[in-house]
Amino acid sequence: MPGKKNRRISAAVGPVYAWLTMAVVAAVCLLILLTVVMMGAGQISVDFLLREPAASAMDAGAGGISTPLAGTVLLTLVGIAAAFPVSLATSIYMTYYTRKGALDRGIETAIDILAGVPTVVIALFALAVFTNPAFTFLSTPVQNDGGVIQRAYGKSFLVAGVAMAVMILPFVTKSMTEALKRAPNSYLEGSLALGANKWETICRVAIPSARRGIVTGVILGMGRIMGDTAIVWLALGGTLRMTGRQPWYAPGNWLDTLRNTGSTLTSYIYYTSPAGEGNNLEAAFGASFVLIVIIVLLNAATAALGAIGDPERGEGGE
Amino acid sequence: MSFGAKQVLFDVNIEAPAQSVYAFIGPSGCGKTTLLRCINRMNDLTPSFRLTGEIRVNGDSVYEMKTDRQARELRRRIGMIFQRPMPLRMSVMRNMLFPYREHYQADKKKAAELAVEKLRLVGLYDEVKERLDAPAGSLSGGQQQRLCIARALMLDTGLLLLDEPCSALDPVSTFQIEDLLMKLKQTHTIIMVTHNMEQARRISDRTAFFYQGRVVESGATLQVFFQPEHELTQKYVQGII
Ligand SMILES: Nc1ncnc2c1ncn2[C@@H]1O[C@H](COP(=O)(O)OP(=O)(O)OP(=O)(O)O)[C@@H](O)[C@H]1O
Ligand SMILES: [Mg+2]
Repeated sequence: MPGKKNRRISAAVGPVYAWLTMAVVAAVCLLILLTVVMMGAGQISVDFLLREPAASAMDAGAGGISTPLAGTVLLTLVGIAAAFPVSLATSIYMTYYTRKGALDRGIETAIDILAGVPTVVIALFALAVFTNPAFTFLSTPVQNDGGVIQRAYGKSFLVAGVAMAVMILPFVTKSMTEALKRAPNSYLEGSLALGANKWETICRVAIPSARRGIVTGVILGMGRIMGDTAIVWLALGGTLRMTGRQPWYAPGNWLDTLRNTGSTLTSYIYYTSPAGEGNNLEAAFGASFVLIVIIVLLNAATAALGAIGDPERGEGGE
Repeated sequence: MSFGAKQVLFDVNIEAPAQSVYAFIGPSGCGKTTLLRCINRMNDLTPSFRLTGEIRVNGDSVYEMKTDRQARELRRRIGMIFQRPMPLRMSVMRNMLFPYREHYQADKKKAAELAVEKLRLVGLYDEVKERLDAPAGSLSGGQQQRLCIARALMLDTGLLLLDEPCSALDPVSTFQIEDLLMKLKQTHTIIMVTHNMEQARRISDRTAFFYQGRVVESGATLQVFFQPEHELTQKYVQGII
């Protein structure tokens, strides 16, 4: 019989259990971080950061991480550039133009479902679509013996970037919508009472006052892109180097670089890890360390940015 | 006037003479704000809002204006000041130019001059002339409220609607605003909601007392305060209810 005594015991055990769980979680997090720092920090050198990876990670050296690092940056930029306008427009619609009808509920549900789709499925879908010859401009043409274009290669920074955009769309849109909804109604009314129209009010009043939340959404999306592997694996390709025209960083070759394949820190980690062909644990941890540092810096930047552009202090304008 | 099934105002019939101050008084929730917001059609934004009857501003029937554009033009002719000072999150000067944007693009210099003129009118210019580019949020509450009034005056407003404009302000700022309203009265028609009986008595020419969505009594301020026809009014102005 669950009497008073039982309840007293559970009241005593509950907090202990909660505390223990918390301690275990914290310990595991710390352990991972510590391992990465201890194993990885020692790898870092100018040479490691600036040298290109070797052709095969099997070589004792495996080379540096210059192109995977650049690949991560490129892919993140492409993904954000593709996701940002769509997310912002969607969140504006959801906040200010929705009538809560069947269509809007449909959109909302679709976004929720998209948030749960595994990224490897998104990557597969991107491949299926972007190998269509009509999308050759996003990657490179695949020709048959006669030189006729059969299909698009379907793997490139641009394709992977679009797939990444689809992946982060739900999260970025959600956080932007939250930010817009938090913008105080009174500001909007103040603007409308001055005879401004709705669109003007959204652009000049709502978005500036939600700026911080919007930036946070973007950073959140960037972090996700940097950490994803499945899309890189399927839609960016299985090489460690940039496959476009060389040197890949020459301005004249930029577009070509984007239309071709390469690697990111995550795929470099995979290749050099014992699971990949490399069995080169040091290099893998070195790259992990760099990736984590970037993500930490990114978060620090958000915090700093938030402090500078704090809307409460009434700064800025358009 | 109702929001969905809930009727908020009943049989309101009020006429505000030009160039005077009309005060709306009454207990909380009796519909003063709602009536004010009917006049410049701010309630349009609430989907459940319904109104029967007519509101005229300068002879134009407000609810006959069908398009959104007409409603916006109406709002540009009516200044509205809210309870909490509400400068937009931009600089003082940008705030002033905000409602004036179309003309501002055409003639920047003239708009800036006009802004200075209006800031002078509300007695703010000398206080903020060095801070025109500072964020409006950095001004004091009273200054912000006067900024909002000056901003409303940037347009050709003939009618000013003020919803408890001084309730978030200290006594000195309150007096500054009252002085300003007395000055503006010569050129503008002013309707003001207030919970401050003293204030209503000091500056209004006419007063309407609202109770549970009805106008119990309206007329010359002195009469409403000192010779009210209804017992309810008397109790309210004496602070009994
Ligand atoms: N958007 C709305 N939807 C539904 N009901 C509303 C809405 N706005 C106001 N009301 C209701 O209308 C009634 C009158 O509100 P109103 O704000 O006009 O009162 P008030 O006289 O201005 O009060 P106060 O002195 O506290 O400002 C209240 O009962 C309120 O709940
Ligand atoms: Mg009110």
